Amino acid sequence: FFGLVSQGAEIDIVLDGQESRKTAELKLEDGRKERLPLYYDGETVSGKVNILVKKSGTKLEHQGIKIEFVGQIDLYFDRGNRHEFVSMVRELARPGILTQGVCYGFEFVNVEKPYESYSGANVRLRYYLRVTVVKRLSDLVKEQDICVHTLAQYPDLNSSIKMEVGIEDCLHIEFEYNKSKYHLKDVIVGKIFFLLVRIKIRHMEVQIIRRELAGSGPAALNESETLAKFEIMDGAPVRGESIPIRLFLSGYDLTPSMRDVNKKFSVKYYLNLVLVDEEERRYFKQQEITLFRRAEKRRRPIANSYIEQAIFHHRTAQFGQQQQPTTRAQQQQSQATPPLTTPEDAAAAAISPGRHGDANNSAADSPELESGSTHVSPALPAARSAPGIKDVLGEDDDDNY
Amino acid sequence: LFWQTRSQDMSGPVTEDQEKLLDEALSVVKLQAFQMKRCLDKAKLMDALKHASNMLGELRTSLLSPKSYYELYMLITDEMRHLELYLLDEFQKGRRVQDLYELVQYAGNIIPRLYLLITVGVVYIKCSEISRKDILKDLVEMCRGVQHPLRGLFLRNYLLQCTKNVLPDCVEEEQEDSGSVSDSIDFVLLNFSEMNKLWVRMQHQGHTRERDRREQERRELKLLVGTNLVRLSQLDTIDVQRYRSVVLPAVLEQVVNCKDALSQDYVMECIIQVFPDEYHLATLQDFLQACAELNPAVPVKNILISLINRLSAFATRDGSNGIPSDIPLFDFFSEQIAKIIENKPDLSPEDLVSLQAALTGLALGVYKDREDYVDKVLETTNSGLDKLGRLDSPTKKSVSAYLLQNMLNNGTLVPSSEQVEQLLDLVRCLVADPGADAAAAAAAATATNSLGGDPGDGSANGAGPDSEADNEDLAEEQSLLGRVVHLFSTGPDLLDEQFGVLKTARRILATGGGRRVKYTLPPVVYQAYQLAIRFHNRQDSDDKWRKKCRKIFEFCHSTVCGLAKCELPNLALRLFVDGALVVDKIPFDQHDTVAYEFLSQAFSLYEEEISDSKRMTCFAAENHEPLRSQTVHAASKLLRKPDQSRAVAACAHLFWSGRPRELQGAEMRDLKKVGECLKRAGRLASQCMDAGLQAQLYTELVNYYLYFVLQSAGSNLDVSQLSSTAGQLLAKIREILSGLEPSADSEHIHKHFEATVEFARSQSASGDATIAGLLAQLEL
Repeated sequence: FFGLVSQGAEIDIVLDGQESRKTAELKLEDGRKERLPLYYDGETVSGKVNILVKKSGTKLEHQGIKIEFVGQIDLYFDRGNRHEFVSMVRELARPGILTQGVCYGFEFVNVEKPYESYSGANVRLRYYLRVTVVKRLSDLVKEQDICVHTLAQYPDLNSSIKMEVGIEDCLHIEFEYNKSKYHLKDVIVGKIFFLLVRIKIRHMEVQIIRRELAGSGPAALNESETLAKFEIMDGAPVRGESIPIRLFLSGYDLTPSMRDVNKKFSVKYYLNLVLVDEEERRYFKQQEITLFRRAEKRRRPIANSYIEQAIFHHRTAQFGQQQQPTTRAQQQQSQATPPLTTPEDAAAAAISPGRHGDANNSAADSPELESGSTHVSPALPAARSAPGIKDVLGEDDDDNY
Repeated sequence: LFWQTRSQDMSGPVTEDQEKLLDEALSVVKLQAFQMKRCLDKAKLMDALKHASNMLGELRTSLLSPKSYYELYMLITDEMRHLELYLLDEFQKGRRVQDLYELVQYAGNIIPRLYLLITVGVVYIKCSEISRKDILKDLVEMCRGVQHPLRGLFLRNYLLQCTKNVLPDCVEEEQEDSGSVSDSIDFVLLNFSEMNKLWVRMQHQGHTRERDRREQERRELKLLVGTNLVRLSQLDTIDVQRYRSVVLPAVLEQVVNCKDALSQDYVMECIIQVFPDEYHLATLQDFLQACAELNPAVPVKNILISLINRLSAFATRDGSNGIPSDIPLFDFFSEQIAKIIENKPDLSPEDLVSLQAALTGLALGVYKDREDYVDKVLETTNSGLDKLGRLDSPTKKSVSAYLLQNMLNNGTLVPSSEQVEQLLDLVRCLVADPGADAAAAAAAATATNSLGGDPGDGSANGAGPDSEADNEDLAEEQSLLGRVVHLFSTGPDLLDEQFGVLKTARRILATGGGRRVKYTLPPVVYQAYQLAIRFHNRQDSDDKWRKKCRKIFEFCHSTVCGLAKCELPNLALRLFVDGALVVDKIPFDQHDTVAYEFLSQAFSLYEEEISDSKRMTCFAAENHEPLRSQTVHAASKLLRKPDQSRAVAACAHLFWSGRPRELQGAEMRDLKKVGECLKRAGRLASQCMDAGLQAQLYTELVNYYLYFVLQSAGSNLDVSQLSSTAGQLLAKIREILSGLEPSADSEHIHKHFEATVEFARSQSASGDATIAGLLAQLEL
């Protein structure tokens, strides 16, 4: 177990209850994955440190032995800047001489672990124990990483995301996701309702995008990664179609959303709805969702959870149909007013006929085709090169098991 | 299955491409299927699912034609059975795979995902893993994700196929959430309407110039849509009530709203075919209402005709209770058809008439006692056909012909003078040449004893160049009209009215000119003869019958004279002779004078007009010696030897079955004269140059001999003379036949001969000793 062989002594950290403790997988800096013992906030971290003197008869002189519990954020692009947000020390031994193996117990009682372990593209947040045998020339050091999960309560307020988006006289859709906050084993249920279709759509998919913002100020690094591509529609729908979405999150490698962690980094998740037409033009709309980690309960039988989803879906489907008359009226209205809506106007989710008229003046210089609070835009050459949408969907594979 | 009609307009290279693409896809499928099965054998379910998903991924293609796609689909769904069976087996052994229903939904592509979901969902249902009702609902909803018509249709077909035996078919839920028939109905109806939408959408994709091909492809796919209705019809707990309140309204709503002619045509027909007749009876009004709302391009008449025919068949089928009396079937259809005619001004007359014809069929089949229904139909048809005036001539003719044909098929009777007039007015394009109307009408008005038609009409009518085809068409139309004359009937009791009908018919038909009256008037004459006989039969109840008969024969006489003037001597001759026969049987005052008049007309016609008259053989009965010998004389004067021979042989009958008045009705049976006639015929036959013909004539003669020999059995007449002559003839025939070249003709003669011999044998075997003895002399 990670034995660090060094000048004549070997340090071994054994955590209490290590055999029975749950583990979690965490990506290392080099991309490998490692299973680590799992701890939660406020949980005591305790165990033993064994120091073995290699050859009996040799002596190990030291200036003291200590163990630290560290929570640290590493920004990969700034190696010198390691930020420790937690650091606790326990002295294990005063300076002295070791002639044979010794064992020290240690305990960090109810230690605060405010953030979740994270390993991203440009930043890493890790917790570890570090044993140091201080020596005159070079210390003997042994580190042991642990993984921390932060648990969140089910949010009190968890409204659905519902929005009408489109491109004037070309494509109007209304999408709905059943919640705005999902736990990591959750399932996203929703639907896309087509209000106006004048383009030949070939297919539609939902992507899960992780956007990591590391650092702050001008030096901040932004990195997007598409974690999931999930085709939800094949072929060209016509007006009035309602397409169901059901996406199980547990199949993907997700973390909770993180906001401004210790003022060093953020991790946000977006659902990206992408429509591709027959000329390979892509229309998309990103919508942020919040992910959280729910305390592990005994899993409910699959049946119930899926039925719940199914029922929800049916309810939303009905919703779409009921809305149809009004949206159609709106749509006619919007067709009657050729100029486009503006981003300001877009702040209002629903398009009211009156506002359309007001918006006429400022619309002319807006190249973006928007309506409602949308950012659905046909992928212009510039947009194509943007991260997350440059991949050709046709290369999707089915390896999601 | 439904690919037997291969799309015709698919050009060569395209087909080759298709084969190549299909082959590639099939080989991928085979490979993946093989690996899937291997993984299943090793119980590596996750790997097997991955291969299944790869295999199903082939169904994502857009390159294949429906036909090729179907082949691919069949192979894949066949392989999917292995997966299903494996899972069923595992589940039943208690080895449940956790969360499988969720697991398969991780597949990134929707096509493989949904096929897998359906497969697993059905396994869950079969193992009562979780709620059947909810799974069904979930599956049919999730399939909305496939909006591509071809792929969507096949996916939903897979759904329908997999759920075939698991749809709940009970009125009440058997256990919680197991679902009831309502759930099944919702399930299938939703699937149906989605499939129909996809099917309709198919028409509107791609380039307009490929319209026809798409339509063809759609036709090939129609069964996929229809399967939904079949599935509904297989649910036992859908009773009439449920059908009427839930199933049919939903189906009709979908069909009417889709506005697509092909779909409407097919689905309506499908409804008629898959659901029981009782259901149709109960929902007639709704169904017909929907028919009226269909796309104008839909041949509604086919749908209605199909329904009417089905219900007519149902009502007349053995063991059926008939149409319940509380359902005014006829009125429904009648109203509906009227509505259709009203709403569709461009309805073609052919359609109009065929609709009315089906209605007539219904009236005749189901409501045998309601003649007024038939009248009603004819009336509507008549008013509907007022537009016929606007049609061009060929159309008019074909419509009229169609109408007549239908009357014939259904035996529609025309029971009054007015109706005869109406009918003939309706089909006036067949009755007379257009333009000749006015003149003919005028002529008809003045016609009293002679016919109004222009005698020279037959040859001189110059409406256009008389091609052979024209003549053939004319003959066909006119025979049709002639046959319809037999339908002019007032029924068994109204004899006076019947005579009126015939007079009307003659008046109108006579305007047709020689080319037409040839076909149309003889039936009138025969009808008149018939009528005379009926008057005679009813002499007890009508003391004026003699006078009436006389009137009828006067009518006939003038008609036939008219025909004779139209250069139709042959026809007139036959009618006269047949008339004489009828007169002979009806003993009204001076009937002998009338008969003589008929016959003398015949003879004078014969002498004046007929050169090639085989008709003479018809002179088979009269009671005057001079006529008889005149006949024989005339017979032997025929131009051609074979005709002479035949005629003279036929005259033998005159001397056998003639009933001169002095014998008081007994046959004269003058064997000597008979023998003479036959001998003379034999001699005439021997003068024929053609050996085959000679054999034919001899054979016929042998038949005559046999006839007389058999007729004389039991009497004291000596027929040995006849027998021996017949025997000699047989020998002669054998000799000739042995020397004949084989040909169609000679074979025919052979057959006739063999049959004759066979007949003689059978007679000698079965008959009494006398006959046997006589026949023995025939050297059989």
